[in-house]
Amino acid sequence: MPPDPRSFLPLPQAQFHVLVALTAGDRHGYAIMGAVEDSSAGVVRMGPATLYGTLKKLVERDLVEETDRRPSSDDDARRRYYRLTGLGEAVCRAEADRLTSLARIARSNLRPGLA
Amino acid sequence: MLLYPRDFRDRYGDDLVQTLTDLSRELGPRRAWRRATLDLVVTVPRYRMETLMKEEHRSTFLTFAITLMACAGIVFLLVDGGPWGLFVSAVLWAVAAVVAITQRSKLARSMDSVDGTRLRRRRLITAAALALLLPVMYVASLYILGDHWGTDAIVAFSLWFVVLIAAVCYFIAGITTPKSSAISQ
Repeated sequence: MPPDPRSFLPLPQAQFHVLVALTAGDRHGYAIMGAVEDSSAGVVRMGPATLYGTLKKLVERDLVEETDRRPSSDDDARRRYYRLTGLGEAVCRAEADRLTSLARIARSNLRPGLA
Repeated sequence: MLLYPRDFRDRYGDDLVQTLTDLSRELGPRRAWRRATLDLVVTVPRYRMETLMKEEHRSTFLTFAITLMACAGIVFLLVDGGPWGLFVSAVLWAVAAVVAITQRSKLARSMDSVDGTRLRRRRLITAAALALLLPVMYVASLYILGDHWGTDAIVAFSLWFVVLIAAVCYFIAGITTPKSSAISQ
């Protein structure tokens, strides 16, 4: 039986950012790093070791897997590409839902001027 | 790169270099190295600690931590026999006892899963190495300290005592470790 995606929550911030970066498609390490920076408007800047440490954990938890598929044939063959697994997608969706409901509570509790 | 744990290095070493090269091309070498250095400072201790706390290393780490705290307690008591030394020793022994009691199941479980013969040999070799260190330390302390018997001598004696305790502990742990065939798998 596949594990319950909710058992992975809450996800550490770096792991969630990497999963979100991979929702757009297969990417290599450096592309993930750039996507994380873009999606967080430059707030989250991962270093190389943080990125690969995070990828290692995600691969170990079966949320992400390496893939041999290349988006273009002229790409550097030495680069390793990563993609979301089915479980990874479910966990990413569950974490997004969790954060959405949290944000909704925060907005409703805060005064309108501050929200 | 050598600062990272071996499995991480083997698996992602080339990717790290590739990413750093890409980063250097985009941001310039100075900014790229600054980011990589900051990252290194944060990640090396974290990844080292994670590796250390993995199931197969946990018992070694715990045993080492408990022994160190217990020995440090003895050293404090020998260096300062007053109320302060007694207090610090009592705190260290209490922490060591609490860690040993709360982690006893992990220690017992990890004992079951390792190769008993190898563990036994490793412990006995460590005991022998520590036992060999004792006369060397004794002669060295005589040579260095001479006839002067002050605080230096107390510290030297404390260290010698710690090594003696560690040697005895390793010897007892070694001879009481069952060989592989005797360990339930």
